Amino acid sequence: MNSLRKIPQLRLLIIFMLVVAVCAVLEPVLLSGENIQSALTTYIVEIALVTVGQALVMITGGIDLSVAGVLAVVGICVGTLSAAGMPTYVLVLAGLGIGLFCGAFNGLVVTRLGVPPIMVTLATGILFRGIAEGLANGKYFIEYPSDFVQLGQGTWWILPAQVWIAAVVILILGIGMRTTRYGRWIYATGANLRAARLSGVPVHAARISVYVLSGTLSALAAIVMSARLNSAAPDMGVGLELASITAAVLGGVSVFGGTGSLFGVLLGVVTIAALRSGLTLRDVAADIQNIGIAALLLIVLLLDRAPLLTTLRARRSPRPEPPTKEEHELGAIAVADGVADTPPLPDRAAHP
Amino acid sequence: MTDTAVRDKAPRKQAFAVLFNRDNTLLGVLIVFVALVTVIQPRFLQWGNIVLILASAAILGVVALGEFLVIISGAVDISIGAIVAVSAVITSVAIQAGIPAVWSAVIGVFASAALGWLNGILVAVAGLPSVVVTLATLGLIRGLLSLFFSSAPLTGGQESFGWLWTPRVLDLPPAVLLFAGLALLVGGLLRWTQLGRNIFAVGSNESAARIAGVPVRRIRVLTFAIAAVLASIAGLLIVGQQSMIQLGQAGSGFEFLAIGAVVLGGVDIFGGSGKVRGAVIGVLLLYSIYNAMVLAGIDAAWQDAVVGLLILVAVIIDTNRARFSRRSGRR
Repeated sequence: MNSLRKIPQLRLLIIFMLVVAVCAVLEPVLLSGENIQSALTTYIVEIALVTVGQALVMITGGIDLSVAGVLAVVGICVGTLSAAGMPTYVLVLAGLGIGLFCGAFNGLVVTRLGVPPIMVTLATGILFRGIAEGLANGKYFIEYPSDFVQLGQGTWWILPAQVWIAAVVILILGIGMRTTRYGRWIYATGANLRAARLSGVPVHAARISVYVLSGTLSALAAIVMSARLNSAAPDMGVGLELASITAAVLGGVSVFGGTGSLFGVLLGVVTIAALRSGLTLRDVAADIQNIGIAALLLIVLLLDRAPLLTTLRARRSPRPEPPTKEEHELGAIAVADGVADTPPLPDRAAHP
Repeated sequence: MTDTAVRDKAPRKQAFAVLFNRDNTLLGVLIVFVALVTVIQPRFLQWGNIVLILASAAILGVVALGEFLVIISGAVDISIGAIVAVSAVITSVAIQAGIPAVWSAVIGVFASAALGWLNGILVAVAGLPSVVVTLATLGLIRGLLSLFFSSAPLTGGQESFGWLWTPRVLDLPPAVLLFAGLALLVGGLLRWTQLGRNIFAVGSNESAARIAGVPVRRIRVLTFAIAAVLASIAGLLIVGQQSMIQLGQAGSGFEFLAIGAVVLGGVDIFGGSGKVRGAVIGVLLLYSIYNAMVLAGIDAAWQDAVVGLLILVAVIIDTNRARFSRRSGRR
């Protein structure tokens, strides 16, 4: 029991298996190769790419509300270039470059100008989608070179092309987060920005880098999505910012930063995908599926605070009551966003 | 917080401090903006157009008042747009079922308030972060709405609540007066009541507030519930405004627009400071910009980009103004 609890995301793993088991009993088609393949392409790859970026940002204690906006602007730019007759490698490179630029912009505003991430990315999210709408100007794009389309519709060996792309990217990031010094910087920055800086972690670079990664991953998702759908419209990926936060939180990433693993995040994405796929097979409409996902999120969050587990822990090793999340909240956010870098203002509480 | 800067004895920097005062900056921006647009397009400042701006701002304005309260208390409510839809849908369903308009409205408001209360309980008692809780309840509420009230567009509420939009005093529809009244009410609540003081205290430093004897949990629950009631009033305004719409979609995207407007109004996103004036001006600025862009003939496709850019510039100026006055206040 003791060693079992050391497995990260054990609870989510159990829930995932429960979801799969229940859905598979009700709809055996769920586990057919064909269904898994369609679930991978429609529910997993693109959301996983975006969610991994979101999770990296959240681990540093930030949040990226602009992922869907980046996805739209990249999709539209790639579509425009494609309509102009550009070859595939130009489309991919340009798309990734734009995503990288958008992410770098977020990161620079957050670190150099000291604006809280939630405010920056809220604004840039609206801005990026606005640019996508402006560039598209009511049009949508349906012309792509055939080898570009292969990125989202082709099959390499036994799996869809985009699964390989996502798997390689996420594997590299996952290993990087676990084994490299860079990975430890990210965690340290999110756990305690000030302490990290004082112990020599290049916190600015670390924070900028996660926004860059998030932007680039969203761009990759945009490329895969355009290729899969063979089209791009300015409303592509609407709601993905919230979906990615949901999946990341479900996967054990704390909104206060410092914790979470990409394995857990993937598990979160896959659990949601299994639930969506199962509900789709039962002919449940997409927005009604949200009830299930929201309920799942609440259950997992409440389980984390379940009295049963608390008492179990307390019985084994009596320890002082930890500060509640609420008590933690303001301090943690303030530190993570550099607000607490300067001494608190004297009359903050005495506001009229 | 700029008060400290003003009070300090750095006379040369005082002028700067006044200029960079949060409220003054925003009001200045609004005035300069209005002046500029008026020069380009004199129609902008005609009363008819002003009424148009006010009327278009009323719905989001009422929602933003609620979001403002939640943000002041140090939390954030992403489910607020869905709560708008709840009252709109339930009220019009009740009207269709033959219940008198007043009681339908009461039912709608209570349903919304219950959801706000649920948000508050989950945040305050279960101790979950408000972003995540309201993210979940957003999905939950929207899902339940489309589960139970999906299909046909709901009509019938327009006759009962249309009066909210028929011009009265000075051509202003009652909806605008309602927005103004609610803004004053929220301002009064924050300024003069113990509840208001407590909301500031909780948003400013929750642990300190608890130790000082503020009933933190009750304040949190109440804040979310009040925000939901305000959102439900916005829902009633929507019922009166449109006769043939998919009410289930009402208020979608409001969560980010409302937060954006509040932030544009210079309210601290981490809670504990901000003024109703700021939130109201933020909303008005947002809709003045939309209106001005239409008048200036800017392509509708680019409007969101301009608004996003504006919010970005506003938050950058606002954050760095705070830094500046902090520094000048200390030296």
